[in-house]
Amino acid sequence: MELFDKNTKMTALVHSNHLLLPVLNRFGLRLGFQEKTVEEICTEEQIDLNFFLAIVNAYHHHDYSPENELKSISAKLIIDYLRKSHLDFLKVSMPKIEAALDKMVKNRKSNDLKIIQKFYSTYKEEFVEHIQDEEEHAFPYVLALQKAHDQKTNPLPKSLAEYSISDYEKDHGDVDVKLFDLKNLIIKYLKPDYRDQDCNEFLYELFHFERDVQDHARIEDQILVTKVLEIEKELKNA
Amino acid sequence: MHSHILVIHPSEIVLQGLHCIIKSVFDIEPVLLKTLDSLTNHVDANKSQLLVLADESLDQKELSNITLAFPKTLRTKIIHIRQLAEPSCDKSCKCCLPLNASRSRISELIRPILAEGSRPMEKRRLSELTERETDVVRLVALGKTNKEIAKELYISIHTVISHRKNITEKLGIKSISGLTVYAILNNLIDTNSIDPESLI
Ligand SMILES: [Fe+2]
Ligand SMILES: [Fe+2]
Repeated sequence: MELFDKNTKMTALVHSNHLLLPVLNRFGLRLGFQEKTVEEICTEEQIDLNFFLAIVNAYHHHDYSPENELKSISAKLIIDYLRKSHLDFLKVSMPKIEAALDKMVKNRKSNDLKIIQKFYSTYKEEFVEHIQDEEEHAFPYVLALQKAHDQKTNPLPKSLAEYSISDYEKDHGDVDVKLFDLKNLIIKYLKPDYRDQDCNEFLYELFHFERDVQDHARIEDQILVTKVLEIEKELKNA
Repeated sequence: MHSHILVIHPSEIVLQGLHCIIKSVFDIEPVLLKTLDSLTNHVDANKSQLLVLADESLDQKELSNITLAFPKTLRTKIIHIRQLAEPSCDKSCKCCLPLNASRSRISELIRPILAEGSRPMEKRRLSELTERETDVVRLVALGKTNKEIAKELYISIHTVISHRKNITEKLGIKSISGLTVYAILNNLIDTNSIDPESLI
């Protein structure tokens, strides 16, 4: 496993995995990288280098877990990134999936894609609810906890002392399962009266989205939650 | 294991010899028979493949009649055990086993057959649900609980759960609403009497 490091050219990073483009956007990066390295660009754009490397490496290498690199990163930075990803999902990825699905339905005679569409909309409902739950409950809790930790607040207010991140951050299993089912229903059981390019477009979007969502869930479960549990242990034993 | 092996030969020495070799090379316990009489009783219909090693002196017509009556899902392969290699059979022959064959020749002969048996049949079996599994999918799609399904099909809850596990493995679909979509797409539900979208 060859990790990207501070001397990697930003251009080379994109060449080795174009799916990282939206990830770069979440850091506010735009194209036109010239010969600049990751370090040079991070300095210019005032991006935390270690955090950037941890995120792109975790995305590119599935078995890489940057827990140690992220110990020093503030929860706020992680949550910023997660929030931008949420926005990406809701405003970019999902509309793209829906447009592709609509197109597929429109160009077909039979009715069974309507059922798939219905299935997708129940999936979406659950997914959006999961995101809202994080935005409204989990993230504010983490930010308040980090603040209390930084300011050495003692004793902790009730709203922090009586809860734990495990009360907020829900299991990602259910949401993942539906996305997986959706792919399989299309790949295995679709009747062949669709237009190839429509279906491919839909599946490309779905695969890309799945990968993004899995990466996102990994950052939440392995990085954010792990970090918060440590802060909690420290604060609540004090 | 997807295959099972039967050895039919009047000689105890041959039976025990092949048993010993097959057991040590493939870790399969072959069933040993001296005659064709009880052959049918030893066929395991749950396996996908049956390999019969049969002495050439047995009634070949009777043997083929017996094997023709086996379930269609069971792929049957017969190898003849011969006193001497037939002049027309060279080392690459895949249906004869001369008694003077070496241990490595025996495993060379059997190995590809076992490998073949475990692959294509498994695929075929995975691609379709059994009748019972289909019943279970239909009821799951209609929103029934495991308990209700057990009652309706006169089976135990435990059996319902194991059917559901097999269904999920075969179809690659885990969620209840995913299974419902599968049932609708495959016409397992009468969509004239029920609005399919209301089920998902
Ligand atoms: Fe999230
Ligand atoms: Fe999440």
